[in-house]
Amino acid sequence: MFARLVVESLVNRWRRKLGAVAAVALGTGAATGLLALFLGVGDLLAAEMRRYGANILVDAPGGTFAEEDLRGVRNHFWKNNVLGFAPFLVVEADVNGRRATVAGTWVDREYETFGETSRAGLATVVSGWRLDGRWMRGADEAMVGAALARDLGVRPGDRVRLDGRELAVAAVFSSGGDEERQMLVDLAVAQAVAGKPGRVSRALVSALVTPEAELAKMLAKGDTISDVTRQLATDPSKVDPKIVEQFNCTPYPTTIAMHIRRKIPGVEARPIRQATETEGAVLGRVRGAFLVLAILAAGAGALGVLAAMTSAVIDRRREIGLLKALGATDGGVAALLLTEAAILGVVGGLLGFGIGFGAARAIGAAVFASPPPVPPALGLLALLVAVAVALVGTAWPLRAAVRLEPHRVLHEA
Amino acid sequence: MFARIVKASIVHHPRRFAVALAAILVPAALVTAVANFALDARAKMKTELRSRGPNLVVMGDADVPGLVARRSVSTAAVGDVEITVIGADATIRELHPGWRLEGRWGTVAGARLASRHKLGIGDRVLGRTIDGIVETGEAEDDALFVARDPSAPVARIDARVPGDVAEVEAVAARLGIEARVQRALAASEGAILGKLTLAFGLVGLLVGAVSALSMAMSLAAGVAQRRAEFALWRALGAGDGGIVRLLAAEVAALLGVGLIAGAAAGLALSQALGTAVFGQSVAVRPAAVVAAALACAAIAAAGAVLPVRRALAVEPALALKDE
Repeated sequence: MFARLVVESLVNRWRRKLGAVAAVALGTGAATGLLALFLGVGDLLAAEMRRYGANILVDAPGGTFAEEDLRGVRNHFWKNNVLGFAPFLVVEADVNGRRATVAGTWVDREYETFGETSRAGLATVVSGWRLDGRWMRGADEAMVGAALARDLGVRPGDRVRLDGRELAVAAVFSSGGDEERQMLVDLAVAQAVAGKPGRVSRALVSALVTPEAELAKMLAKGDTISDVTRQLATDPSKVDPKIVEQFNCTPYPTTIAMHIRRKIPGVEARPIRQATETEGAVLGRVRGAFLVLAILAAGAGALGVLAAMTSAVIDRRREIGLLKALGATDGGVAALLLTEAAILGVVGGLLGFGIGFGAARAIGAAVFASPPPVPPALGLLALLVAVAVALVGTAWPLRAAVRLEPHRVLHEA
Repeated sequence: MFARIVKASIVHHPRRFAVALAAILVPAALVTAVANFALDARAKMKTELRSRGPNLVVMGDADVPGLVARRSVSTAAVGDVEITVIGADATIRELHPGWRLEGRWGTVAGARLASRHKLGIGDRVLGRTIDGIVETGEAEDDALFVARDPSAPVARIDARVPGDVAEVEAVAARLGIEARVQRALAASEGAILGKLTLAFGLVGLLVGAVSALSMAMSLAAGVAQRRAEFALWRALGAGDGGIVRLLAAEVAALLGVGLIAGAAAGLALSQALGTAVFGQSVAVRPAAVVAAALACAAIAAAGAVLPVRRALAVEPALALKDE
């Protein structure tokens, strides 16, 4: 009997339930979509921030290391987080008869590490360089830093002499750093000029990292992140094992630098703090903003569900009166309406999760060109919350509705 | 007469009025909060990005506007090792918030210098006590920072020139000495802010749509509940137009109170949220407030129109006898 009442109410009056289901679906949809975005936006934006340039510097204090060992940059647990790198060999040499600093590097090439091909070179690690001309190609071209170009009086398209070689100037560039006083040439050329075949002196690495600020919460009072990272680098046995584990299983800048250092003999690898901290600060703010918006959306969604369920109960006051006049108890009426509300909540919640999933992917795709992953647990959460809010939205007006005398409701004007 | 009916409808049904008011006020507050927060978040992110490092590095001394830190460079012998000593203004710390500083700024050793020479805070080097250790990940890690001697020649200026890249470039061009414009941050600024604006906009629309829906539904329910009342009016000879005017007046009164209170509550909410996320107060954006209020008014009107039309379509006798 009870089941029949519920089924008939849902089947015969499905049009009336549509509004409630739509409200539940939209409310949960907005909330889950934004929560999914909040959870995923960090990763999406981190990738975006990597345009900012290199965030790890590898150098051999006072010396050089083997070009072949560069493979170590991409030969560790976090190798997939390494988006690019560029090696440098810096050498003092004769340029057009004057002493100048020449740096050998790659612009953009394929690099093979143990059967996996990836991209490497300046183009993968620098950002905001201004080129008057174009990127150099091949061993007979060079790029001259703006300050050096002024000193030498060279312009794009000119030719420069480097230690008996003639190179074409592909571009005059400004980078914002010391490179503006250097001439960039192909790595092999610099190695030949320096007489150091197969050697490099430093490398810039761009890696996808997790901000270290999140780690601060785990630290004991009085400890700072720089304390811990320095200890990890020098004497890991002194660090709390829990923190060591956290470090090993999270791609913090320090972690990736540590892995690279272990793989390349004789080098030091350090996070470039201006880059990593800027990234961390920006990501923290953006995540905070999305969390706030997700909470507001959840609030708005809950409000919508409450409004829909409340008006559904008010609509049915007469029916409630009739049921009571026919002998139904308050509890029976409440059970009937709450069961209906729960069913509407489940249907709306499922639909809403679908809507939220779609919205998160659509916004992710539109904004970041790659949709965020939506954790399935979010679906369960959405469903539970949808049902809970639907029940609350029904129970609240129901209290007033069942208290009314049947004859008054039925005769109500 | 008309005014009396409207007044009576509000005064004699305080609960009904309160519910309808809440149905307008709360979504209006949410929409205002989201619009104001989203608009301001973009500006906040811009400030955040711009305060993350110098935007101009000048290799020599010059008159540079904005926040500047001058450096002089010398070398000194520690034991039998030559180290770089940078005499710097204290503003250098403010210009490089990303540098990790342990202790406080003053006489500060670079992280690599400190680990090489086993130096810690409180140790003495070159006749000075070390106040802090700084980790930059760049060349400064090998140097010792001391307070700048004003008579020493300036080798470099780190500066944060107000304005965007074009303005920084104009300043750089005017100086006449080697001036390096830092474009990396500006390059990501455009990309990131563009994406955030789009994301906040879409999200704001979503929250707005959901709030609007709840507002429209509440109003529709409120009107539907009063079918019998409308029928009574019609039975007593009121025209459809009269009823619509009556309702319009009631909704207008509700909107007047609800939107003003909602906007105020929304602004307070966005203020609290902004403080929580950005650690600073959120500016009031009149455009956001006005847009939110207009949108809410339009939705509330739409939410009332449909059920009124349905209520008026019913024959009075039927409605009074119900259904």
